[in-house]
Amino acid sequence: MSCVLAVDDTRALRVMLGECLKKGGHEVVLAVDGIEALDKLKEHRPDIVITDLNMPRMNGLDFIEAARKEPEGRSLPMLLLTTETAQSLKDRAKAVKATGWLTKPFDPNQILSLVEQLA
Amino acid sequence: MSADPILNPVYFEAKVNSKVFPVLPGYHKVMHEPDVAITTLLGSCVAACIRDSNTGIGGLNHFLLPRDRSENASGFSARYGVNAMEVLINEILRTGARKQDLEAKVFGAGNVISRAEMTNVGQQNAEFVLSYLREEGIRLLASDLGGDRARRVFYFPSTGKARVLNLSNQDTAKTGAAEVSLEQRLRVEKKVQASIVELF
Repeated sequence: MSCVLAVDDTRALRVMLGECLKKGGHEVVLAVDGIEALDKLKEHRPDIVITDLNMPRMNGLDFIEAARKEPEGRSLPMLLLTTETAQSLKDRAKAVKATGWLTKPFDPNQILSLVEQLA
Repeated sequence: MSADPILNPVYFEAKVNSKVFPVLPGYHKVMHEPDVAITTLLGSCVAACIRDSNTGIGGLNHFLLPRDRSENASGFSARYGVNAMEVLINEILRTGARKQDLEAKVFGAGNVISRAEMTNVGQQNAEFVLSYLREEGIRLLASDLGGDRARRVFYFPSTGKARVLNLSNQDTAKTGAAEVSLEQRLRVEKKVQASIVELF
């Protein structure tokens, strides 16, 4: 069992991700944007992060960049889960040391298998 | 030289005296040109028309939730619908819009499929789109949902105006038949559809 921090500004997505991860036996911590995710990262010390890219206040890329500077996030697997496909954004994701890039709509089995592999 | 209907499907529509961009089921379009409307044909499918009230940039999607026996919050059907809303909204947000400035009108979700096992498809689509907008705090300005006719919608993102034409019985039946095929295709595709994973 892993602790997964799932970050998305869309409520329906948080509910879906939460349900999928809990079914896989994982503990789930939810956040609505990068700012809240940074707080939850320090508070809950998750084993893996799955974050949306486009979010108000702080987006997923800025969140990963900031999280990498924190002791809790330095070597943490952090995946982006997004509708975006632009190479320029993927390049930025690599630059901020994201672990990987997943496109929506997500496949629950794929998410669970990635969590098991990486967390 | 005539326009390529695939690369540039815009045509002039006398019914609304405007150039229009047609959107097919399963697709979406965000329009930046102020003089072009977006149009789509809806039976039990639903279209969310969303715009940034500050800039007038906006567009619409056109989708139908496939039936899903699991009926849970993370089932295929719900994920499909949420994704259809997200791709449209994200494309508008990418132009610099803020979520709180978005406004919506929703159309479609008619009861046009006579097959017994699919009679509530329209109603499910209507409930989904209304609940999504409510949960995301996106203002709903108008809706024309349900009924027993297919509709052609014209949406003008620059002004937010929408015009709805009800179709004849014959065209309604044709639209319903096409949606039965679409729904079946979606249910088959979900078995092979997987998100793309790239590990850096």
